[in-house]
Amino acid sequence: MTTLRAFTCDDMFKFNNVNLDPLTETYGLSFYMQYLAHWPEYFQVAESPSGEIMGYIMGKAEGHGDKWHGHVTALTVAPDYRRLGIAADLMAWLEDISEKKRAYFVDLFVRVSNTVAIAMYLRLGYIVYRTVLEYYSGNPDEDAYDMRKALSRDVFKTSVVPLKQAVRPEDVDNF
Amino acid sequence: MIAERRLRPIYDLLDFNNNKKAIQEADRVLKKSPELDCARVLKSLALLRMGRDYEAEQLLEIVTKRAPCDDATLQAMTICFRELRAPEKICTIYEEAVKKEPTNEELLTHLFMSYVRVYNYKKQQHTAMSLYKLKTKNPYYFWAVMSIVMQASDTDDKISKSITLPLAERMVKKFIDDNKIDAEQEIQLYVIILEMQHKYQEVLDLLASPLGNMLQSYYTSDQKKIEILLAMQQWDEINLLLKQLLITSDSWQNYVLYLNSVFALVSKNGNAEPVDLASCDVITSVDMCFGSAAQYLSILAEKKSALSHKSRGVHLVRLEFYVKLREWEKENGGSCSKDSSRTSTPLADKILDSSLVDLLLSYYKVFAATPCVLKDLKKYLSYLSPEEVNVLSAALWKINGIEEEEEFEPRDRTSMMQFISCLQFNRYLGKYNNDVMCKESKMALILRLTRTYYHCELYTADQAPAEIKANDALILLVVYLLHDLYVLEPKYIKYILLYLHHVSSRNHYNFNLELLSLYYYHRIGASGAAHMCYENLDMKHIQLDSLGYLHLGPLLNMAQFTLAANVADATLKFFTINYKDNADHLVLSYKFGSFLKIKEFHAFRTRLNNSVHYTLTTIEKMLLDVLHLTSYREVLGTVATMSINPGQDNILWDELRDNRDLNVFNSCNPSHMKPERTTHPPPPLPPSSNEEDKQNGDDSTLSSESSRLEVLKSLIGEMQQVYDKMRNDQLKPVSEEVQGSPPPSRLFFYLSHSFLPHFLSISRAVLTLAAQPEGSGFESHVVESVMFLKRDFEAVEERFRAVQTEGVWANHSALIQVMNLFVEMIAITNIMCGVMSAILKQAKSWSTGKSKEQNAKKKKKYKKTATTPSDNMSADSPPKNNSTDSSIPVEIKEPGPILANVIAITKELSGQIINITNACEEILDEHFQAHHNLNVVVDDPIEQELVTYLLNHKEPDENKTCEEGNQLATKVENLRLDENKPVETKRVEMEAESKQDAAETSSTSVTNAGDPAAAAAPVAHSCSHHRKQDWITCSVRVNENIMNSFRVSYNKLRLVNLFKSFTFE
Repeated sequence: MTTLRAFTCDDMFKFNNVNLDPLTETYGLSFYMQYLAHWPEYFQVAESPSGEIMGYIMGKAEGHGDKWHGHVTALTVAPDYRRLGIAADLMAWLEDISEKKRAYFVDLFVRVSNTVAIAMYLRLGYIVYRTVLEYYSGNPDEDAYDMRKALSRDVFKTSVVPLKQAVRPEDVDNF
Repeated sequence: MIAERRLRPIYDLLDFNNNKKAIQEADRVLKKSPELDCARVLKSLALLRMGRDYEAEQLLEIVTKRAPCDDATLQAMTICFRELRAPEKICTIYEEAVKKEPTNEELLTHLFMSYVRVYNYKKQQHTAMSLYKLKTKNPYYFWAVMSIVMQASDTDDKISKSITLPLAERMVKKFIDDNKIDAEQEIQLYVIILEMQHKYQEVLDLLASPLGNMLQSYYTSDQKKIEILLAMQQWDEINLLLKQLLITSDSWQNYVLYLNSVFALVSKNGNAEPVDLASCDVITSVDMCFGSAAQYLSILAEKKSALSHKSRGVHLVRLEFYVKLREWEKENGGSCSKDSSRTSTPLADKILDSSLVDLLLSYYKVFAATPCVLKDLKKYLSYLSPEEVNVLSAALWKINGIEEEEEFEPRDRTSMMQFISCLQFNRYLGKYNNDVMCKESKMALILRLTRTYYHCELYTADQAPAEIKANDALILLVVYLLHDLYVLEPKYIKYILLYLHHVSSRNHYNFNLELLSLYYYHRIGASGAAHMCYENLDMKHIQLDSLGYLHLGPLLNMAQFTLAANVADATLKFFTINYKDNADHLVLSYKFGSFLKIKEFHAFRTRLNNSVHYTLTTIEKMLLDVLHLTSYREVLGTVATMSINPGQDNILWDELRDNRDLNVFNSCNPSHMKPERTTHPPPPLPPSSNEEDKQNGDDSTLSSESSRLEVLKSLIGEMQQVYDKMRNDQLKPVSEEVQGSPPPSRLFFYLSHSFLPHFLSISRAVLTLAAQPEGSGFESHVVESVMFLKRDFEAVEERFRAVQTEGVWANHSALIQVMNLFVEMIAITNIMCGVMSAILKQAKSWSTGKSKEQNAKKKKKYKKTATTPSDNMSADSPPKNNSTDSSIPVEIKEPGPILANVIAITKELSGQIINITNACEEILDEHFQAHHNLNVVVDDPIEQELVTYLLNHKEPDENKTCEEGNQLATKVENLRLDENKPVETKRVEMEAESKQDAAETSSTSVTNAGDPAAAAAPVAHSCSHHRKQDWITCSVRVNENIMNSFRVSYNKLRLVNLFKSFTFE
């Protein structure tokens, strides 16, 4: 029962039940505000009937030419609302907006260890496009999968032909 | 180009924060090319970063006068003025630049953005229009339009609105007519303008036009249509539209709106009872009665049952419908139940062909295995009658196929989840409340749940490591039950912490456990330990505002000054940075045409800036800073930097916003145990908690002495009124019962002791003395204040005696809190004495015929006066034995000695505080030795049951011998309790045993002749050794955490007591 609506600044006062989860980062205000200012439609929240935040998605549209695509910056669902298809709803929203913006594909990065998320993205039709080495800093650094799903504009699905070679984070945009 | 090459090194140095070198480099560049203003500005930036604001400003002023036009210089200046928080100066430099180059598009754009930063909508508008005239680009035009809209929303004035908004409308209309619209945002803006003027029909027309199709990202045309129809109360259309939308979506908001439309339609058409439904298609026709709505919802449910994910909305909407019907019937006098009160079927039951309990159960059956099932249903549970609650509770157990009292071992993950939700319902419905369930049964349930928790580890083994373990919910339930026991007997808090520690040491990912640990550590007064949880939770940025209330207050109460200062600093930094950065986001919004967000950002900035927590933290930090100083001169210096204007209250009391997130403890506790936001009316008078700061504002803008006295007088009056009112109101802390309630304010300690009367008396002494330096009227106030101070010290002593006789944690906590306030009062007293002696000295110098001193020289004078009181002190023997103290000899007519006496008394009391802290630390050590692990002797059978269990409980797959062993061990344990051995010996034994446990890695037999317990020990060990060890380790850890926290608190109090060496030098 996902009431999706645009994320607003005030939601930040009550997203603790989502953000206290150790794998969900709480960013500085500027980060959220920048997304809200630039891509307000790409920042959606799923709200429960009681007004609690069940999860949210944060994304953007970027790239030139046939690299014009939707990107998932953050996707998170509160522990109590997992396994209810909320992440899928949020992803569907982002894909839909990207379709409307005539993007070629949607992509996202995910920790290679995050098997739950990877499995979900695979279910939603994403493929592992390539590996980005040591994308997540930490101790030790962790690789990311760059996962993609082609949208209808990419008729020949050229955007989702997996790359064999892993890339360094600094080269992500060069290939 | 050359310039850029020369500047590069300076930029690089600034990037690396090498400010000193940057200044040198800038100087070098300026020597060669003095005309290079950019170097000058970069130098100012480096100066700013080193805190040399004044020099920086001077340089900037020079450059400003030259009105530079090059981008690099202007950008650098923009950064400087941002740092200086002088955004208006950014406008000035761009205004000057534009004057020189009026056709420079880039400069004009910067000028526009500079006006955005200062919220000057009118100038925004003009600049945007100039831009548009220069380059006919759509964004510029719409910047102008948005600037007009902001002018309209900024004012309440109807007339100006009636001019500005139509102007904005006409401007967009013109573009539409000329076919010049090319972005979705432009239509969004047009909709904003029409909505602000309540031109709803125009919005609908727009939505229906081809332009309406452009609306598809932020909101869709349909969504907006519903909003507009709602505003127009067009229920027929809303009803039909929603019926269509709900077929494909499961949006809860739409369900609610749909029901609203049904009720509005029925109220309008007066058809509560079913009409002939066969004749129409319920999906495509407007609902005229409740029956058709019910039918529509069942069709919807059928359609959605085929979906892969179960839709919660379509199930839940029936409950929503049910309670709405009930309320409707109540309001409308219950047309069908008028005849008899209870016997006839309520309308809701009739329409939905089901009772509330059945509806709840059918929802439960579908979603019982999801963790949110209770959250979804909470709202509807409140409609149940007590009998219905019983029926529901019994039915829930039945669905789960178990008897309430029996041991439960779920056979798989799903049945575990169902069992958990069943327990959560019972908890929420009040089945485990203290008045319903006795302590014995509660303890039995706690133990059963603990066993089930271990049993269920089987079903969570496959969960990803970073996921919250599903069986943790059982431990949360245990914690809630222990909380009930804690409300009855505080000692149970220890076991709460023990459980939390035990489980979170096995699973680091459950933030609920960490959050509860933070809460309970603070409750027990172990704020240092709470701080570890705080760090684990990694609270930052906006959480400092929304959750800071859980942490900062208790840190201050428990005298954890260093931690408190750190947290306060981080918090204040968050707020100031936001205030600076917020304008940047507005700039971005214009840039990207996100007009929808501009008002929102504006409101958000205000909300943060008026945060109660922000205000509170600011003041607490000022107090912390002042009270930790060790000389009167330092106090004067520090207060001078605080820009306090005593005559003016800078706090906008009516605008303050409570940004606390009170729902963060997400529990299944019954509603009366959940924290609630009570809307207290704002205080009648703004309480001024820092008067002592205010009156010291040497550089204050107040001109004459007499007006300063007036201010002091009125502040004292206000304080007295607030104090009286609060005493009259008999404010009470939130009940212990409420789990996760905001920590109690130290206000309660203030009110129950004489701290505030003391503060008021000594303030009056200052006032009287300042008004009449030659008179002696202030003495009586001083005497009175010392009397209050003594009374407070007695309170400290009383608490200390409690710690001595019974070293339980709670006594330490209370003692530390009272001592903390007491030490604060001593500091304030010393500062006040400093003020008074300064006044006296000044009066003396006047009487000796000296001309009136200037403010600037005053500070110097304090230095000289300093010797006077201390001289007197040595001459006048200070009251050494102050317990019998007749204290201030009133016969002393000289004012100097009186002050010296007060100082002497505060020193004496400070010394005693230090003695107390020392003694308390010793008591802590003893206490710790005696109680550091679980093997304590307890005389409470219920508590004993828990301890015994934790030390001996069985493994999930244990064999029978083991169980017998455990039982034997339990029996022996009980036997030992009955023995009337002297406590001391027992402790030693337990110690020995636990040490042995710690040393053991495998189970070795411990045979200790003569001790029956030892004989049984190995049997128990063989199966539960590991867990037992774990519990013991946790217990030691928790105790250590608490003790160390108290130690730090005592230590800090001792350190801050260095104030006793407070001098006037």
